[in-house]
Amino acid sequence: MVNTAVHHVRLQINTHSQKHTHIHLLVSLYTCLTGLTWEVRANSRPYHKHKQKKSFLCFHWGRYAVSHYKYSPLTFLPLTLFEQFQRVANLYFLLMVVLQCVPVISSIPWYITIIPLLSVLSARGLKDLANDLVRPPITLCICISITFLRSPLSFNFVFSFSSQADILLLCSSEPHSLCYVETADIDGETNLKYRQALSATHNELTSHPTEEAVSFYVTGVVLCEEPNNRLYTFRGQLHWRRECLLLDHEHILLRGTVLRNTEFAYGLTIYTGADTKILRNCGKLRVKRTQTEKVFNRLVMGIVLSVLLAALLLAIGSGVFSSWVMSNTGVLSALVVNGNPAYTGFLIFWSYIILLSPAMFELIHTVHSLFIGWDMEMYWQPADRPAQARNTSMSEELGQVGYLLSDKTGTLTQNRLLFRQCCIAGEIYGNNKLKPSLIFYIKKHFFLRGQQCPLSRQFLTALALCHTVMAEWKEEAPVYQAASPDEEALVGAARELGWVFLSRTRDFIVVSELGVTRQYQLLALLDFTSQRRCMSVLVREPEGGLKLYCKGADIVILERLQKDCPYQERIERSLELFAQACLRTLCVAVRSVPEASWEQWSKTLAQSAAMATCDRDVLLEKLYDQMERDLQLLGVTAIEDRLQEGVPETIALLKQAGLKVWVLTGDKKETAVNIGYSCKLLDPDTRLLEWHELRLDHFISILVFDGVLLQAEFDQRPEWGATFMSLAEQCQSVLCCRVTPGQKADIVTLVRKHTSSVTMSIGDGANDVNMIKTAHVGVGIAGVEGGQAVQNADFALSQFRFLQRLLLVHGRWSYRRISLFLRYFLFKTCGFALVHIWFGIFNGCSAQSLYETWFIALYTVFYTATPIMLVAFFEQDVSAESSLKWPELYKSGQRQELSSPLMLSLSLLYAVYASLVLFFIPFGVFYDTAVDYQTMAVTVAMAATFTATIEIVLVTRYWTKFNIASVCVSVVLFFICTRITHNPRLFQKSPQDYLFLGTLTHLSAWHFIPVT
Amino acid sequence: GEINKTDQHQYYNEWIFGLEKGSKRIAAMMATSYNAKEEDGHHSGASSHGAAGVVKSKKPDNTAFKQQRLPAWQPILTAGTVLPAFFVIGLIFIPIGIGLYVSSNNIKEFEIDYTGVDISNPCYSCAKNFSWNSTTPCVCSMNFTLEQPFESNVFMYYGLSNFYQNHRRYVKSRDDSQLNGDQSALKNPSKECEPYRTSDGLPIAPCGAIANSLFNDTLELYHIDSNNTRNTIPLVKKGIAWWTDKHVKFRNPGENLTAAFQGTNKPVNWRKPVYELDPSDPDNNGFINEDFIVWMRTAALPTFRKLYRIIQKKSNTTPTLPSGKYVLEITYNYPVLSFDGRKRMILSTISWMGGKNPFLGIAYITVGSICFFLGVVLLIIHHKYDTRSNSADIPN
Repeated sequence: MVNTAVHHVRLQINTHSQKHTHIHLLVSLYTCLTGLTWEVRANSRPYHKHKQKKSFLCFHWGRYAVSHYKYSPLTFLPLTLFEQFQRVANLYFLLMVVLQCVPVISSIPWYITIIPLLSVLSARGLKDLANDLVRPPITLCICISITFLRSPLSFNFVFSFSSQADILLLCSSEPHSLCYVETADIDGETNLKYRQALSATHNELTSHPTEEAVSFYVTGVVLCEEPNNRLYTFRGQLHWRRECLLLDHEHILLRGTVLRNTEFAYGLTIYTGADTKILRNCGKLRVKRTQTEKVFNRLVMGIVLSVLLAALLLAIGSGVFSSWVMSNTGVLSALVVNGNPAYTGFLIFWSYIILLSPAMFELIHTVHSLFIGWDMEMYWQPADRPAQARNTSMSEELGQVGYLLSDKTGTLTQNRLLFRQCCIAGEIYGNNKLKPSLIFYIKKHFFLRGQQCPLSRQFLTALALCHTVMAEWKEEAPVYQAASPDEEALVGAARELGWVFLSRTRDFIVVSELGVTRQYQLLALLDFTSQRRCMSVLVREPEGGLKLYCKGADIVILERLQKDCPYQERIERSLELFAQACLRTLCVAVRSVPEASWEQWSKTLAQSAAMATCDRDVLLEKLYDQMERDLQLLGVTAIEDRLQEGVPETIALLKQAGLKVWVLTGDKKETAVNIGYSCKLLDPDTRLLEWHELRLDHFISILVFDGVLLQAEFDQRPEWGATFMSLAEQCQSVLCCRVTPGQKADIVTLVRKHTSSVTMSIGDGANDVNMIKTAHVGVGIAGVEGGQAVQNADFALSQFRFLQRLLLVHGRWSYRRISLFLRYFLFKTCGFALVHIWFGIFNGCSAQSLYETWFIALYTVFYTATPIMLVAFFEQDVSAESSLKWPELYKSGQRQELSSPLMLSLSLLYAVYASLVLFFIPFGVFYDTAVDYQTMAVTVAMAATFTATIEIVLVTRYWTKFNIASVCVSVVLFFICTRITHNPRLFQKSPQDYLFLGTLTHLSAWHFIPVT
Repeated sequence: GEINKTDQHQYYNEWIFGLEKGSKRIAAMMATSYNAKEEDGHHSGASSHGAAGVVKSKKPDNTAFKQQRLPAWQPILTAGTVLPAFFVIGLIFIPIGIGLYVSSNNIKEFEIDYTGVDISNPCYSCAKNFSWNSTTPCVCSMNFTLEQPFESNVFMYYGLSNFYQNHRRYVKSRDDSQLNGDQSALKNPSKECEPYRTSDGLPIAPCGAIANSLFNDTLELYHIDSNNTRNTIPLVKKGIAWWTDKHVKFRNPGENLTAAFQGTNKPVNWRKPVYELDPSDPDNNGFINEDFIVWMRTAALPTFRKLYRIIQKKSNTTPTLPSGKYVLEITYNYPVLSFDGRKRMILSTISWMGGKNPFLGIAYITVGSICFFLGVVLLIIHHKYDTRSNSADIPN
């Protein structure tokens, strides 16, 4: 652990992620700007020791096996307590306990109040602990790191298979100090990537490969950003031998990456322990709150307010009683205490309403989540992957979804890409009609017609060169590892056609062109970003010429073409043709770059890359623009992405269920519309409304619009959002094309802002993460594109069609169960507690409890908890099959019919009514009789228990054996516990054994009143 | 199929790359690996997890519990089940209510207020001139007439109104350990007893506000027979407390009461110490005095009655209390006028359901009738509007 004491101004760092930058440049010292405040000195233990004293972060020094767990045995208790008391309910309850500990105002013993609190706290604490213990990938790393740490830590050098700190790569065993890594633990992507050392350190260190030498030679200082959570950026400088070398994320091995195919690697640790980027990323999940929870919280607030009001009135009553009655009553006058705080006693009973509900909520949610994971119908055999509820506290939100915003690629489609057709120099190869072994068809065509054409050769060279695929050799054949399936498909297609990509190093790409191995020198790689939507490579051909190969979205490429490019019209026509056939298209273009302009360009690039400020990205983009111009269009590739199984049926079903389905895609409008038709999102009979028609006041059903236009419109007129949404609300479905990830999130925000419905986003790729995080409920499809979407999602599915079951079955059930639970819970606790207000009128507002102390403690936990919990676990109004058969049933959840404030208020009123009955019927019976307080307490307690039980019997519509058992057990438990607490031997001191013969007959009368 | 396909691919590859020499083998191998992957359908998951799947598949168990297919009884509320339920409830409740009401009405009860609020009341002067310090007890007598004879055992109650025995501070102001005969608690009573914990430096036994406010009026009942002579009616003072209270909850601290209560003081309002409550009967003296025990069992509501004495039935032929004139003689010790309270004497017979209280019967009848009425209304609605189909009246 290394740290500078100086924490100056933290520089705002531009977060544009630079994914595959290949720029390693030497920059002189004076360009190194400040703002990089984190300083690491290689092999300088005294320096760091000195610094240690100043920063507690240095605590981790020398302890590489920093636990990835949130809790340690020591910190668990304080941390979990701190977290839990952030909940208002718990805090309120703690306050109650504290008040109860003050003898003057306590109405029931403090230990009885603390039992429920402790159970709440321990239940939640244990759940957190369990969640913490189940963090598999990280645990794995810890073991490995302990075993493989080799070198003394004082050197700051680590030699390991799995890096435990964020490490600056200095050199490795591979040529050019490339270092193959797997980042599955970080982003879930299993393909190989590479990291690369600076050529300066590589050259120096590979000539002295021993460890001693390494530690001897390295005496550099690294200046870099303060620890942050941005996984894909790193900015820093290595000051070494009077040179200032720029560092970016290509040089960094993040904690959790695993080295592959690399014998050894030397590095300099930059961040360790809690400062590593992955740890900074952990635990930052935004806490999502469900609608029901919000309603409930509001209700609790209302209850607290009315409690305060009631307490105030009762306090006044108590005061009046003290001064008027008690002082005149000889026997009571001596008991008048100054400022009798009777109302505080009152609050206790109210605390039981809020009490336990969070803990029970947690438990119910957890069980619902388990059911989701256990569902066989949502298990995807080929990948051995069941559905997963990653956020265990959202299940009932699934029953209320009004808007489904879906990504297209990989979500609706399989994202298993097949190279279907291509158009080279205006000639279309391949035929979409032919299904199997299509590539051979292309091949035949190609060899018959196009082989001699130089454009075709260039086209294929471009496919073989312009990508970021890694080739891994297995059994004498390369296996391609690509971050995006498009690239894999294209490189694979090029290989099929004879242009075999063999390997890549830092500076060279080796390709076998029809059997002739050619080595291209890689000069620059202008990487792909979702903003740029294209990528290029600048290579020097073996013959010496400079070529820029570029591929990208048609709209980007077409505007960068040189004037009067041959075949342009024909290619554009084929583009349309491909789009209509639902194929994904990419344009491929080439440009010969004059040597002079390259030299100039590279110089500027070096300068701007050296700039450490946020302008850098803008400048780089401008530079890239300069290079990617005057392109010559070679052709178009068309890749098919097949629809997933069951997608049309699912969409149709969800639309029947009243969901508004929006598809947000980066594709062209034609492609999107075609996909929309094929997946039944769009109905052939309905009318498509496009952007320019929006202003007309037509009755419309489907809205199709373009993200670019939308963005422009919103920038001009922000108030337009509401208008747009009111229009969109009338539409069956909305199709947004050409949207960027940022816009996807913006659209979700727009929907959230202008409707009260619950929004759900579903996506599979890193570009959907933003949208998934923004929506109320985020669903990640665990597909081909790595695990980022799943990691940020609340639910993970393997197939889009599982969504129907997740929403219509699990969501609907869960919502119903939670609502039933909530309403019953309100009823039972309020009915139970309100009795005290009525009793207060008849005991001088003195907060005397109508129940015995033990009953209060046991009522919520033992007598009434299990039956409603089981209802909340098992209740089904209709079976899963019927839920899917009648999707209209889902609509009640969207309208929040079961958990609306009105329904909850009705439950409250019902509770008031029950409490009136509970108190005033015994009151009438016992008025002016010889019946004493204890008998009345037991009678009312029994009545309350029976009322709660009968109510649950009426609520339950799905009687499993567990339900029946729990109802019986609860009632029996009541009698047993009452008997035990009244045992004379057990309790010589307090309430004794007594008979309540006769009371039993009274009871049945008033249960049936609340019931009917 | 797999092998055939691969062969086919190889054939094509050889055909295509036959022209080129050298890299044929490599190209063919690469091509096959690619195509196999492409045509396979689902590649990544199946291939990478296939090996792991042998060890442990993540496939969920197909159990009724996990698949939420537990066998269950799903009652559906229809008119066919709800309407009979209403009628049955009504039909059960109304007879019970009538039974309760009738038996309550058969109970004979007589009540007389002797607080002495009115000037006409014989106890007016006693009430007015009450003082804690007076040594001579004030006695007043009230005449009353029983219209009907009381047949079985008669229970004599005293009733208090507007007396908040259920006030929180009052209820807590006692020490159960002391009352249970605990020696240490006798000498050092609980803090809850304050301010009736000690007096003159000595601990109070029994401590607390409840004990201090013990009801200490003495009631005596005389029957005036036809000869105008006053016959004392024997009042049994034992058997009025709960058995468990008398034998479990309340115990004297020792056999010799005077010695046992040495070093304690009597409650402030009491005229005599606890060991002189009933000197004649050691089984009814000290903490186990039944009047005391009855008082210590606090009432639930501000208007209450407590059992005072029992008048035993003498023989089967004569009623316990024949109709006629009676005199109630009160030794007036207990002031209630200051807090606008009332004192009453109640004579009552009891039945299987306790004392006279028509409320429960009325409540049952009301509930039963409402159920019945609702049943009828629903039936009418059902017949009138349910002409379409049976599925329409599934609630919820």
